[in-house]
Amino acid sequence: MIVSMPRLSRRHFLRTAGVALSLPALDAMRQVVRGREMDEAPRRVLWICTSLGLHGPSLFPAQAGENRSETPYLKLLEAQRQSFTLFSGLSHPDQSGSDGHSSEKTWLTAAPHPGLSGFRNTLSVDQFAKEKLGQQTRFASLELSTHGNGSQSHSSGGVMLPAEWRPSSMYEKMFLQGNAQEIAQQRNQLKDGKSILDGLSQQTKALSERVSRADRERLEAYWDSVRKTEQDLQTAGAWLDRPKPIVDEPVPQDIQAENDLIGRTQLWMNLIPLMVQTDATRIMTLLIQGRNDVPPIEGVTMDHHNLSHHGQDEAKIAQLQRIETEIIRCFGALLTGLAAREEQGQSLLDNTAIVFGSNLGNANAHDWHNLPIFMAGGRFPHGQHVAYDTQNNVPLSNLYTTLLQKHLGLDVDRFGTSTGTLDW
Amino acid sequence: MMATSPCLQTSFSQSPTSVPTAVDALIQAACIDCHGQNGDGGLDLRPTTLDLTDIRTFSTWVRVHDRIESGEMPPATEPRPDAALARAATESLAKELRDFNRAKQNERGRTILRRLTRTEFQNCINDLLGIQSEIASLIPSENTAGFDVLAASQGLSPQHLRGYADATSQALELAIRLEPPPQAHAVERIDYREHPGIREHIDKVNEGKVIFGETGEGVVLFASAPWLTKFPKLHVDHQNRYRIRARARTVQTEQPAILSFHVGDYRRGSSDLAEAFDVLGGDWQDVATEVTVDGGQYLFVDVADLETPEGTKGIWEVGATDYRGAGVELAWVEVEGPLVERWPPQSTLDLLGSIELRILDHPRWDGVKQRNLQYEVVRGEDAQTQLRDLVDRLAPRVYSRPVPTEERDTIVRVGLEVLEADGSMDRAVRATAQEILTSPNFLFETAPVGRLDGYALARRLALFLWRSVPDEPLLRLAANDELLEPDRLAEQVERMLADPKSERLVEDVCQQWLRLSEIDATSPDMNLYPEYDILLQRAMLAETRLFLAHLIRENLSSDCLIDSDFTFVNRRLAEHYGIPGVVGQTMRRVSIPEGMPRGGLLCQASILKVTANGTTTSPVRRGAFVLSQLLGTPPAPPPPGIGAIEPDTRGTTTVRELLDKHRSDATCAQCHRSIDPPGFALEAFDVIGGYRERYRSQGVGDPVDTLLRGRKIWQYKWGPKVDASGQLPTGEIFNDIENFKALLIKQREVIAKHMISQWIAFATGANLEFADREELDRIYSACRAKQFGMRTMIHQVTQSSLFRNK
Repeated sequence: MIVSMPRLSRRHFLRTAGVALSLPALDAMRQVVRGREMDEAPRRVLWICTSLGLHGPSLFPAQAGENRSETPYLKLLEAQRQSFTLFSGLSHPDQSGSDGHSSEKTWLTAAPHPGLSGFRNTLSVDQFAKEKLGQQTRFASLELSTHGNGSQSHSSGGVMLPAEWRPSSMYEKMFLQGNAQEIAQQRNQLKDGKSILDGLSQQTKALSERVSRADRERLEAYWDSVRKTEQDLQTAGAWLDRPKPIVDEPVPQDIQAENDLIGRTQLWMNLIPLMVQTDATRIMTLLIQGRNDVPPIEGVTMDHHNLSHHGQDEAKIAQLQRIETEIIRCFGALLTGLAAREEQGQSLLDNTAIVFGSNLGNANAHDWHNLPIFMAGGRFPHGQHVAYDTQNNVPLSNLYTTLLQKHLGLDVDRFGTSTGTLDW
Repeated sequence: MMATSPCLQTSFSQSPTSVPTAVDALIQAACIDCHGQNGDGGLDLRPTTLDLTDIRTFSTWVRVHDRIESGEMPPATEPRPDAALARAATESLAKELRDFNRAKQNERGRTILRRLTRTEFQNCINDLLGIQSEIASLIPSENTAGFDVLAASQGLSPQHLRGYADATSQALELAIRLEPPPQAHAVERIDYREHPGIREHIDKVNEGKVIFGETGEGVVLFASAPWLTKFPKLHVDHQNRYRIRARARTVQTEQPAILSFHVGDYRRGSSDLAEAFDVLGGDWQDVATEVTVDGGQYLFVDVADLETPEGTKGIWEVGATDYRGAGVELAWVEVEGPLVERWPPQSTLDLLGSIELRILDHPRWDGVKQRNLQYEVVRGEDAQTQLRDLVDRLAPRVYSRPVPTEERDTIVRVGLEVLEADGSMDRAVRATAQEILTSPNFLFETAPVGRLDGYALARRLALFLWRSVPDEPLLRLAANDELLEPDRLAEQVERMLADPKSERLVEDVCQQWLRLSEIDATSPDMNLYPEYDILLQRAMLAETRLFLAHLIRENLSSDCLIDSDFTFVNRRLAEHYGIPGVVGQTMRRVSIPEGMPRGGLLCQASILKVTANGTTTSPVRRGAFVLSQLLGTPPAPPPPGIGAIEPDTRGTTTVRELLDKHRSDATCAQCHRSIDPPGFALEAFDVIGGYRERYRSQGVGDPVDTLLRGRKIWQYKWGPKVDASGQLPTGEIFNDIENFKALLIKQREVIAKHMISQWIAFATGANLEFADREELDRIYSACRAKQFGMRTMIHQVTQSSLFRNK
């Protein structure tokens, strides 16, 4: 039994009691781990998108090859230099859409021409991985954001999954046991939900016998949703019986100020290592939402979106760099946070692959080519700038496919618009 | 269990058929050289069979038909085909396409399982339960390409189901109120002179802090300071309505200033403008408004448009006594509320009906909902009958039709199951209501193929005009089929358009057709556009809304979309446009002064804003808007590998210079000769819709000598001259926006037809199909006879076979 328990980290933040209590969860995990070596820790993936891009000239070195931290942005990540790879020349093809920011919707899906007439989004890579992996953890996947409930994750019908922006709420779902009244209430909700769904099944059945054939065909989606929700309730019921891990870290205090993009981002960067270590989920996405307000950063007087349309104005570029510097520092802090923690003798970073980048290559022109893409962790060879053709880009889906195959070990030939995998 | 069936079955036609003889003859004579082996433009016309069941093949042949018919193909550089042959070809092709499309419609209907959009869902629930909820945001957002009502692009997923569950549960919390009555209704008058936060800021030279003045009769606000003007003692736990009044006058100015009421939200760190008023002159003025305040929110007053004369010192430098700038003097502010007619509210009593409430001797703390409960829903002797009664009252209104016993019992069983589990009537009631409000019978429009019956027609009509469910009078007319009579239907359309609920139609059309939902997608650079604020934005949006509502109400022509001699403004927007003599923040209709380049949709600030970003305008984006939204001819996306132009605001190059390539490169020119010209004409307007002759620049340029709130503008300079001239693909030349509108109005028939097709799509939940063109032409002729009146269009559409059939 003890075999698959996470080893205690140096900081010993999992209290012994909590670990013992979390055993049932780990049971579920073992079944999947079987087949691999038993002591191998679970693999996870995290996608992070900063939706207003990163100023190319401040990021990309002129040359490919070893990362010598020669640009201002790479200099910020000097300490983590060996833990990541920077890619240039990657993008999804055919992303011109209904407006300049449409490609935000498709960063994880690669669906063409977002927002144009007839557009339907497609399954995002994280949800693709989630479906392949199945639910082994309390959360099959987690969608996070800095603001509101917008995420880049989409289910198979191209429907966006709502994101959680409040770290406190996420913490509560993962770690707070809830009092007896709350648990009873949740159980009641599940029970009532089950009764309601039974009723909906019957209503749907009766309805489908009445309606035209064309309507009936499309009613299938509703029918499927009812069944899927029934399964979800069942799973939720099973997890309700399992105690949650107990952690020493206090509940994070959500930042209410909407303009504090960096503060909100950093809160997630603090919480994510905890989410990884307690095996809350294997699949995560985080959207760092570009904003139309002025972040509280010294020397910044204009709103982020506006600055991204700098029009080559040097003063604006300088302010933009200040914001992006802070975003990149958050990324650096995440890498450090993950590298500092261990499970089964490996650092969390080794077991977690992170894609960090943007859906815009040059936000000033809404250009979606030549995206800034970092890949970190996950035992890939790191420490380089891998440069593909900045004119004729390599599909970003190739990187995603590589990740699905090599990191998650999924038997997958292609994803989205991939034409192969990457080797560097 | 339902059988899984393939998406498309092909029984509705004899397809594949062969290409009609005349079409084949034309292809061989005039098309095959380019569209044969070469496959120009990805089109290969060699195959001789037509498999129209393939949607792409069908739309390809529609395009072939349209291009030949319009004479666009073969291109002007090629010899003209024989006219008789071309006509024979298009006619036979049209027949083939129409017959196929009609057979398909006869078998399946035009609109397949249209779902309530999340906005409609919210409206319906609010109207049904008598509440004011904001639950739409709990449901996945709609596909935003075009109207969200189009069934073909609507999805349904487990996230939707979860969203409906969350949304209805939240709505029921608002409908069934079991907490103690809100604190007694009270009128509280606030004298800011006694307000400690204000007291300590009165008339002190106090660096970095806001300074208020004091008179014998009140307190003078010289600047915005919401953290100090917050209403004391207004603690709100739950959603309630309040009335606010204030007595105010301006000091040290002849100009109007703005006094506004806001609802702030600690949790979001943001606030919403509730109402704004112009205060003018030295006499006291009383203003009043009503606001809804949610739990955790607070109220505050604010001021704007206060002038500081050039050459005088700022309030922070000299203090209130020596300050010479404008201020708003407040005698008092009153808050009255909560405005509750009865408790528990009507929504609770209506929903519960025969189910009783018991008043608890002592409030009970509900640890999950974090509130005290004063009432309890009583499980009666015969709970089953009570639940039946609940379903009998609610379900027919929700489903917009009678609910047969068997169906009712299915729903009642849900409530009974919950009751059996733990006996709480409260939970049983909520589960039963949720069963109805998340049912496919509510969420979807289902109807047999063919003519809609009275109920289906009532529902479609209410969704179209009210974006909600039918009311009782409409359902009564549906019940006895009177609604099916054209005259009754027309009367109902009149009645419904006169109802305030029809404002939702105008709002949704503005948001979706004119993309005004994107008003906040960018915020104007505050150095380039220091005059922009939330008050101006609100007026911009109101202008377009009122303008469209006016066209509908007065049955004015769709020609007004291109040009009109009137528009709607308040003082703020009038100043923005340069229309003199408008005082007050109330929007009103004004005549556009002679020679002023306004009138029509395209010269409205809201539209000019959503088609620009915060810094620069793009003729491409605005041109594409004109082509897609007004003319109905959306341009194709740019070919792969083409990047957007790189904006530059340093004042050295203009966007027109950057777009020169569109003229010089033949590939670009093909599309951009149509896209760019309307955008060039609209270069006369900046990113917030202000008229301009020169670009604003943050780099090189000439100093600006106009005043903003009394002070000289230093934030930007005058950059290069604007060139708003251009040449249409027809060769016609325009020099300015007025010229351009004069040319555009020549396309009034195209615009009217597109407007009608937009109404059809929005009303029926399905885009116009090939087979619908005959009916469209019929509607068009009828509307043409009435000078394309917008109300006539709505009547014609609702009377049409497209609206009245599935």
